[in-house]
Amino acid sequence: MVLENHFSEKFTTAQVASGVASTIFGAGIVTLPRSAGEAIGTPDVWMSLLFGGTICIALGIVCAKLCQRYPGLTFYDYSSQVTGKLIGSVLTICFVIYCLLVATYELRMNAEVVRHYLLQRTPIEFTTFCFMLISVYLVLGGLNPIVRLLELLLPVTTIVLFVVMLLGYRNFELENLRPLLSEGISPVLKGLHSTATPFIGFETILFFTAFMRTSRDASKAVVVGIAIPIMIYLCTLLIVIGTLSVQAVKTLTWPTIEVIRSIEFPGAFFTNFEILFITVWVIEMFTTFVVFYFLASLGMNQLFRTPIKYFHYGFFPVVYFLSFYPSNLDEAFQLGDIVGYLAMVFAGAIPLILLIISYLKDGSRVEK
Amino acid sequence: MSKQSQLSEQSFTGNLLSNRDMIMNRIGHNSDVVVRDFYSDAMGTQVMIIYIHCLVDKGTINNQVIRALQQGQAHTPHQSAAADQGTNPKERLQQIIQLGRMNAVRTLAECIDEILSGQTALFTEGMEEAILLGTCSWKTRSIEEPVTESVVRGPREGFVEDLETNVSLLRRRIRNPDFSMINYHIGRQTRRNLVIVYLSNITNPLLVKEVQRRIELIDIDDAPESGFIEQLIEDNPWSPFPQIQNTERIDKVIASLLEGRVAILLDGTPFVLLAPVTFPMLLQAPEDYYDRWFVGSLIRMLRYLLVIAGLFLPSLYIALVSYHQGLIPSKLAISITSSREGVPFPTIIEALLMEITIEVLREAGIRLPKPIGQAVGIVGGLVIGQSAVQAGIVSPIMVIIVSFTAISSFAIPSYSVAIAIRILRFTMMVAASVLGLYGMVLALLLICSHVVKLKSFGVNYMGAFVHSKSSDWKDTFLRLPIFMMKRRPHFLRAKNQKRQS
Repeated sequence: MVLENHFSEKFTTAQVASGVASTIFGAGIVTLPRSAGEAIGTPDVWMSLLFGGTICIALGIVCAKLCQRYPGLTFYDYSSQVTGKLIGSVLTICFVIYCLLVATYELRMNAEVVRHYLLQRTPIEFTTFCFMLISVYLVLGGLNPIVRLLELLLPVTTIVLFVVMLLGYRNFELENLRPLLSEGISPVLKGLHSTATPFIGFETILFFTAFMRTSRDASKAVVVGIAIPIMIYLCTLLIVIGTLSVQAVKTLTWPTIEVIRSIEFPGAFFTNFEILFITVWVIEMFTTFVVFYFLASLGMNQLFRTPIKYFHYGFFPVVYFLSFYPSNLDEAFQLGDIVGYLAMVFAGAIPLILLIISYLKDGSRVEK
Repeated sequence: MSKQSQLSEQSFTGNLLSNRDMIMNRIGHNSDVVVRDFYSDAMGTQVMIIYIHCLVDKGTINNQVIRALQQGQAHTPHQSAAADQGTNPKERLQQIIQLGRMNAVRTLAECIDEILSGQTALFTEGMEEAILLGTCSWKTRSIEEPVTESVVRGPREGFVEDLETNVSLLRRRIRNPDFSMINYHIGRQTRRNLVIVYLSNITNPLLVKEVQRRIELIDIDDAPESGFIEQLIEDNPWSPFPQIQNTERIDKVIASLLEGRVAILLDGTPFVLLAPVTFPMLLQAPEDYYDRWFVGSLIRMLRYLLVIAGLFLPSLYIALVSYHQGLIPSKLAISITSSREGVPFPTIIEALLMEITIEVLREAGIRLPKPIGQAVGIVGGLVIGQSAVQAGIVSPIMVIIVSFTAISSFAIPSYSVAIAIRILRFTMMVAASVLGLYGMVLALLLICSHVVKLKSFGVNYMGAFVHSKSSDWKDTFLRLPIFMMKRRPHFLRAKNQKRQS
C-alpha cells in the first residue's frame, strides 16, 4: 500500500511516555499500601516510595541509554550483540519468561479483584478468558495499536484515579502519618523493594526506544512515564495510610479500594466511587497485560524467526492456565513477590550490566 | 467478447455510409437514435449527424448545428476563400459550428461512448474522424437544502444528482487554479462518471494516489450510489464504524478539501464521499464553526457526552440492576426497585424489548410519508411506551432510559456514526447482561482496541486522540476560536500546513 510507508508511525515522545506510564499502572495501585505497610511498618512509607521511584527513574534512564546505543534494535536484538549469541538467547528466553510471569500475575490480580468486588459468583475462569480474548485481539494488531490504545486511555484513567483519590481527603488525618521517621531511616530503606516493585513496567523502554521517532528523547519519555505513576502512587499512599493508619492497612487485602469505598462526598448524589475506580483499574490492568504479553511473543518471534501471531495464539493457554496455578490469594501474592524480585534482575541489574559491557566493548561511540 | 472488442477498436473511414453502418450496428436498434444526412452548403459536402434525441438540446442542434451547416455562409466571412483553397475540413467546421465544445475522435468505441452521454457525432464525406459536439442537456433536480443535514445557520445549498452541477457548485466556491479533478468511469455496464476532487497545493499526493489506486481497482456492473464506492474502497469492511464520510453539503466538502482531504463525486447521487475521515471529524457539524466558539465548543462537548450516553446508558442500567445493586445510590435503588415491581422479565429482556421497539418505530417512521411517519412516532412512542408501563411489562425508568438513548443518538450529526453506536449499544447490553460492569469495561476495551487498529486511508481513525500533535487538539472536544486554529490537521500530512497567519 502506498500510504503505509509514508504514514508509518514512529512513536512520538508523548506516546512513549504514556506507554510507559500505562504499563506501570497495574496491580500495584491496589496492593502497594498493604505491601509497603507490611515491609516498612512505620508511616514513612511515602518516603520509601519517593526513594523507590527515584531509583526506578535512574534505572529507567539506564535502560533508555542502553537502548539508544543500538538505534532501531530492541532488547532482544542487542542483548546478543552485547553478550554474544548464546548468552543473548538465554537472556531473551529469561526475559520472555519474566514477561509471561508479569502477565500471569496481572491477570490473576485482575480476576481476584473482579471476583471480590464485582462478580462474586462468576467463575474466574470465565472472566479471565474474556479478558484474554480481547487482549489477544488487540495484540494481534502489533505494537502500534497497543501504544495508540495506551495513549488514548491514559489521560482518562489518570484523571479519574487522581480525582477519586483526592476525594478521599475528607477522612484523611495527618495524625496517621506521624511520627516522622520514628524508627530512623532503616525501615524506609529496608522496604524499598516493596515500593519499587509497583513500578514494574518501565523496562518497556528497552523496546519502545527502538520504535521512537526521536530516540534521543527516550530518557525524557521514561522520566515523565515514571513521574506520573509516582504522583498517583504518592497520592494513593498518603490518602490510604492517612485514612486508615499503617496498622489497619496491613490487615486489609485491598486497602486502596476499601478507602475509596468509604468516601462519602457530602451533597453528592453519587457515593460509590469504587465503580469508577475499578472500571479504570481494569483498563489499566489490561494495558499492562497487553504490553507484557506482546513482549513475550516478540521475544520468541525474534529468537525463532517464526511469525509472531503463532506465539500470540500459543501463549494464550500458557498464560491462561498459569494464572490459575496459585491456588489461593496468598499464593497469588507470593507470585507477585517473585515477579518483583525478577523485575529487580531484569529491569535493574541486567540493563545496567549490559550498559557497562557495551561501554567497555565499544567505548562511548557516537549515539545516533 | 472478443468480437465486441474487435468492433470497438474499429476506426472510421472517409466513407459516410460505412461510418453510419458501423455506428448503427452498435446502437441502431434503439428508436431514439437520430441520424440526419444532408448536404451542407457551408462545407460543400455531404454531412451526417448522429445523436440520441432524449439526451440532447434540440434547440442547439437545430440552430447552431443544422442551420449553420446548411446556410452557414453568412457566419463565415472567409469561407468561400477557404473552400477554394481546400482547407482542412476540420478547421472549417470549427468556424461554421457555433458551439463551445468540439473535439475529434477516431475510433468507434470513443464515439459511441460520447453519443451515449449526449454528444452529437458529426461526419463529413472524406474525413476519417468523427467530430463530437457538446450538445448534452437533460433535466436535473433544482438545488435545494439537504434534508439529511439541515442547519440553523449556514448555506442552504446542497448537492444534486447531476455530476456537472455538483462540480460547478464546488468550482464557484473555490476559485483556485489548484482545484484538481481526476475523471473515471465506474461501472462496466453503465459507465457512470466519477470525479476525484482535491486541491493540489494542499492535499498530500500520496493520499490522492491511494484513492486513485483503490478507485481503479473497482470493476463492477454499476455503482448506483456513492455508498457502493464507499463499501468497495474502505479499509476494513468488517468494522461497524464508517471509514469514509458522506455529505450532501457543499460547505462541508469545501472545508474538507481545504483541510487536505479528497472528495469523490459520483454521477447520480447527491452524496459526496470524503476521505480520509477520523472519528472526531464525524462528530463535527458545520454550525460548530459558524456559531461563536464557545457555543461551538459546548455543543461539541455535549455531543461527546451523547455518544457516551448512547453507547452506555442502557447497558449501565442492566449491569447495575442485575449485578451490582449495591453500587446504586440507595435512594435511587429504592425508586428503581419499586418501579420494577411486577415486571416479569429480567432487565436484559426488558431492555432489549424496548430497544427493539424503538428501532422498529424509527425504521417504520423513515419509510412512511412524512405525516404518517409522525403519527407512527406519536402512536409508537407515547402509546406503546405508556401502555407497556401500565401493563407492567417494562418499568418506567427503562422507558426513560431507552427514549433518552434514542434521542441522544439522533443528536449525532453523522447518521452512519449513529448507526454504529446503535449496533455497539446492543453489544454493550449483551456484555453487561453476561458480566455486569466488568463486561462493559471489557466491551469498551474491545471497541477501543478495534478503533485504535482502524485506519482510514492510512490515517488513524481516532485522529487527534492518538499519535498527533497537540495543535490538533484545538478542534476536538473544544472548538477553539478560529484565529487560534492556524494549522491544518497534522494527521492528514497536508503539503502545506499553514491555514492562516
